[in-house]
Amino acid sequence: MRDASPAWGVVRAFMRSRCGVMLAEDQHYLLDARLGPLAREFRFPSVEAFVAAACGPSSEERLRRAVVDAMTTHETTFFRDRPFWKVLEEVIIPSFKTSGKRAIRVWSAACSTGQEPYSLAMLLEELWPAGAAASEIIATDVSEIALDKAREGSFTQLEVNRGLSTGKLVRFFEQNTLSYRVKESIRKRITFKADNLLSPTPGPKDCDLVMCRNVLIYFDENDRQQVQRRLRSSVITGGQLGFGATEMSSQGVPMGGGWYRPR
Amino acid sequence: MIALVVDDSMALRLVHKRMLEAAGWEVRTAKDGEDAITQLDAMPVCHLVMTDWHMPVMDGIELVKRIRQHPRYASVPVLMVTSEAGLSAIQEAIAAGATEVLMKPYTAEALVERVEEVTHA
Ligand SMILES: C[S@@+](CC[C@H](N)C(=O)[O-])C[C@H]1O[C@@H](n2cnc3c(N)ncnc32)[C@H](O)[C@@H]1O
Repeated sequence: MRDASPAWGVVRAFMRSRCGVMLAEDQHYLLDARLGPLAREFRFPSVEAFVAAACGPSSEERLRRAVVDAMTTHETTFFRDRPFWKVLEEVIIPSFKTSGKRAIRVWSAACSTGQEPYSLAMLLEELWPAGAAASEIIATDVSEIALDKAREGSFTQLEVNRGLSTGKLVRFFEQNTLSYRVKESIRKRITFKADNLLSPTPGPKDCDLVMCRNVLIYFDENDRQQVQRRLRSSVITGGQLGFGATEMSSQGVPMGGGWYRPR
Repeated sequence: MIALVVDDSMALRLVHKRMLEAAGWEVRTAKDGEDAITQLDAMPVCHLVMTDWHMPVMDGIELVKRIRQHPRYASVPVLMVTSEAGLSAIQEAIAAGATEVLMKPYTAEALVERVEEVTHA
């Protein structure tokens, strides 16, 4: 293995400014491991030449996207972290039903390949079909490549084995040769679009639920605060913010399972 | 908590036994459906049956049907693990009485998650 090349510094600065993701100096092995394949794919003579073209000023958008996708962690599963979904199922969704609401608006921020918003859409359909049909789920991520997969809604056997009960698989998926695809009736309830959590422009307005899980861990404290403020300003009065199991928020009153009611 | 692992492959019995033991289970094993019924008859308690689908003598489908009529174990959770693929296979196993179905390939993590789900239900 080689020492940290200057190219690694360029990639770190690029990822930091483009999406807030902090990469450590000693993670330079990721340069070859993650960007080596891209350098070959885009026919650059070396990783360094690729980095110069992709992360420098006036770089091509498609190269920048490829770097963002390769350098971010997309690991996710259906119904990730049971307690989070249990609180949603047993407390939050029933409270919407009894409040007389007709529908809700949800933002799944940093949705990766879509398992999180699809889990929510399935749960809503099971617990509150009338509300689910009228509700809106907005799902965003900074990685266009993850979003493409999310939009497609096709998952492998290994992916559906994680977190999805057979009851839900049978009810909400159709089978293709090598994969399972979320049925159109559920897919069409989610609007997928690109969004950078660090963007200076506000996120979706008036959301009853905003979830942003397992991404702020990659950010520094300043960016984390900034993102939390942006998320909070998307929550309507009486709404809730949901974070990952290991992430704490100072943004409100804890409701359990990673859910907070903003003060 | 005690589980009965049913598989005609000795290697898989061992693999599944290890996976469950690592998650805190005490594990008995049986080599086919008939052996499983014999063992269940003799077991004072059993909290989970994890069975393969295709086995000689008595397969997993027949085993679940028998379990659902067993005087003591009619309501024990049964997890069917199988190399069968597809939604119709799942429906067949559920119709026979399986609580959940897990299709190969799966990771140890997925297996343990599913076991926890069926036993906490
Ligand atoms: C580990 S996944 C989490 C997926 C899902 N929320 C979950 O908890 O399972 C993290 C996601 O955050 C996205 N991400 C990283 N930086 C981001 C940023 N600045 N803005 C939006 N999304 C970002 C990555 O592209 C990746 O898909």
